[in-house]
Amino acid sequence: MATIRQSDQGTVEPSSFRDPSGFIFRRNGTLYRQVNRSYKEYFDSLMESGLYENLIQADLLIPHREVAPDLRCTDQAYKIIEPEPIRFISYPYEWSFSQLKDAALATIRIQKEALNRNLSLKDCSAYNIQFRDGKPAFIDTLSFEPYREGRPWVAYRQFCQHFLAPLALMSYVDVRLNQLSRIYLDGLPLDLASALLPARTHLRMGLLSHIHLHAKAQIRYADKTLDTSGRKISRVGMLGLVDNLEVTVRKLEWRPAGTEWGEYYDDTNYSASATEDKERIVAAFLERAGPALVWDVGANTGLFSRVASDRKIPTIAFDIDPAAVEKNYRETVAKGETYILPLLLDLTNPSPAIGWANVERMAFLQRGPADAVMALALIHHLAISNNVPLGRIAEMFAKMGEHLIVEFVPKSDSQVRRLLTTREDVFPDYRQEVFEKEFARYFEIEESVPLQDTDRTLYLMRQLNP
Amino acid sequence: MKASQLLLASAIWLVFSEDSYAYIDPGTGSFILQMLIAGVLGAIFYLKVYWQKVKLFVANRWRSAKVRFTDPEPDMQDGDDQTE
Repeated sequence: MATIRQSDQGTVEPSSFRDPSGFIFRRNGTLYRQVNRSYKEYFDSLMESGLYENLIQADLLIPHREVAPDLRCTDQAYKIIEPEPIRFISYPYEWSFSQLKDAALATIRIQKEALNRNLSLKDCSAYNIQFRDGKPAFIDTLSFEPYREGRPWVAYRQFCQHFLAPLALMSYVDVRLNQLSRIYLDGLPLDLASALLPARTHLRMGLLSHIHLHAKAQIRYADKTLDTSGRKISRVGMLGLVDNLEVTVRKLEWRPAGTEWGEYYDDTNYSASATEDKERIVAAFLERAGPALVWDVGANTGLFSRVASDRKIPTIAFDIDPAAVEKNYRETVAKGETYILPLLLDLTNPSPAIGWANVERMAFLQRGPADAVMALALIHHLAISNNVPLGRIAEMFAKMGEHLIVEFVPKSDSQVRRLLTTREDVFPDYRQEVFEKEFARYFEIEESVPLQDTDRTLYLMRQLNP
Repeated sequence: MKASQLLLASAIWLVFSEDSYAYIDPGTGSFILQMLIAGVLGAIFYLKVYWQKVKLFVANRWRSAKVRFTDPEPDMQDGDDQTE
């Protein structure tokens, strides 16, 4: 992983430099957080007010344990804490609508609990939320400060830009607009959100106030210095503001145009018995590979991801389709699943490394490798729809994980024939023997099993030089 | 002045204000806006909490009245082992 600073005592994480209260660092492979002396009073209030206990019990904050102070990274340290590790770091531009909405509601709940204990969030970045055992949890233990009645909420702007604006755009305009978060790392500019939202959103009090008027106010006062010391926001006013944000977020909904969730179509062309056969083969391959972490790329709504996650193997279920990821996430919530995390990913253009010095947010491949990668009914999309030669697909998969469970779908399959109806067949090498030869440059084929009632084959492969 | 009128007045005032560039410092505007809307949202919140208390009070009264008039031995109702 890239680093911005190294010292004998540890390596500071590249994303951890904005907050003078402390930072995250890695030492001997373990992640720690240094709490600086300047944050002592606030950190003690979090721990002693009962808020920490409260948030841990509600699964809203990442738990930590205090470790020996001699693990400190610099001499400004007050305390060193070891937060519970997160299995897979994900970012808002990889979340489905409901994942971002649940992250927003978790943030609001934390602010409400904090206000109850006379504390307040000083940061509301969506990057402070990570999915832990299927649920959104706040990871920045140093984001709390004492609540002082009369003062405005310093994180209000961030909440609107990181959560409300993208959710409103996804709900009212197009769900794919969450990709704007990838460009605007400190949240969507509100004047942009205001310009893109339809005029009827002016009739919704929450969106009118927190987005449209907020954008106008930001523009009006951008270059002015104002003395706001004489103006106060009462406690009730603050509670009203936070409550209204929650109501506004709750009212935002999204579903794919013209469909009900129950009808959302799984695009398969094979029989129920072939599906069962595929589940059995995947299960046997997983049994043999014994992975501790699975990446299922092209997971759709997670049918085969669950073959792994139901065996208590932590599984990240990536798909390019926001509706499939949304449906998958709704299922994880409905069933209370803790081993599966659905995420949005376009494998032909995976999340890059972005932010300050290009190291603040990690690229997709930097977050690996996984122990096993599953790529079922995917190769033909990469090779034929996206014109990637089989050798390059093998090379990419070799970067992703040690084991590979991959399905080859030949040209005789109706799904591939469908892809070829609108294209000239410029894929003479798209054949099973070429597939095996190209993959054999990186992997040893441990097992291959034909899928019943189809022309497809499932492979279990293992990297030659992991 | 009613809450909704205050919000409308703020809206008109902001909408017809001159433009500059928000990226210089969007923070000041965020503070000002909170001060403008907090009064209205606080009043709504106050009414909402008050209304919930009224509903809870009525619901409790209704429940206790129902228990008093229809069920002479309410503590017998919860047992799994009761026979008809």
